[in-house]
Amino acid sequence: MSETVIAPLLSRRVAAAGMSYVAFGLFAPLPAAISQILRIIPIRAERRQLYTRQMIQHLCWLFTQLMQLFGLYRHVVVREIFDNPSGKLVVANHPTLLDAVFVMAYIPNVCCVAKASLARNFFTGLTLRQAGFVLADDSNLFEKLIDKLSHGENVLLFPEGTRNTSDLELNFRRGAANLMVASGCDVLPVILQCRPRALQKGEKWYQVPAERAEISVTICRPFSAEELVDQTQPRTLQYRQITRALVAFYRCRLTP
Amino acid sequence: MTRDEIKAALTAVMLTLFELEETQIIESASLYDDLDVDSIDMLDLLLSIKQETAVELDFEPEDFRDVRTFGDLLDVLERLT
Repeated sequence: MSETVIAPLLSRRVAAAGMSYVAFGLFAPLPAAISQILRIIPIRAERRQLYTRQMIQHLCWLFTQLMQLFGLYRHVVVREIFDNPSGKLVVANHPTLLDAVFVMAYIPNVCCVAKASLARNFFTGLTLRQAGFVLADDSNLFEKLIDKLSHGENVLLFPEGTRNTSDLELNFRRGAANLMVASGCDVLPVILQCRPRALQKGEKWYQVPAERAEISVTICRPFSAEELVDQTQPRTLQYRQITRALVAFYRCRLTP
Repeated sequence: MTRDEIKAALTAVMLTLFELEETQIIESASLYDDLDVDSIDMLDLLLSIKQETAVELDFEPEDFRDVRTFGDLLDVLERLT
């Protein structure tokens, strides 16, 4: 359970949260709107998808800067790699509501697995489709993600599946490991921390920390399944061992 | 093959694939909740059964749609072989 002290309702910090949500609502349909306008230019659908994702990356970055400007959160980015990743399975732990925004701000050409509700939402739905994101309830989800990885797209997965209630919970499911083994791609871990904890499951938008939280984003070097497990073993054992290795990695990096 | 023969072959394969103890593999065990076997694991399991056991199996994924327990899986395999 969170022990974060919450800011009073009528406070600058809550006003900052409100402004941030409005900004997000304004930003979210922009990439799709611009992409629709770009349709008059004869470019291939793959290029349009790439441009949409570039816009998403810039807007996510801008949004993180705005939140800092509004005084809502400050954030720190640590890079352990400096070249642009391609065809990587990006995994991240999931402490806050904005984790996907922080990852997309700093990793290019990301394909997200989106909840069906986001596809139905007016602000996000059109952008999702133009960006070539895949829905979580898609019956061919696994095959589509393998295909995207093989075409050099980065795929973002949250192995916890949902926001956690504590940093070291690390209840990782095996989807990331399944994809690594099936596609042969490398995993690129991103470590997210929010101190004090904020933007948690069940919290309303106005329940922000009284103290300005710091969100740290660490982009780690990628590693292969081969580095983690003996790949002569049955795949089912590899899935389990890779998942445990990822949990151990995150536990090591998140333990104070 | 008899049900017992299928059960023995299936149990042996599952012990190789899934980090389980033999005592866990009982007919009432839920594949997902008790044995931690998800849908991707099921595909690998069925492939292993085909490739590594004497169980001659011709199946479609829909055949296993309603399988929830180890016992359900045995029932389907018994029907298909």
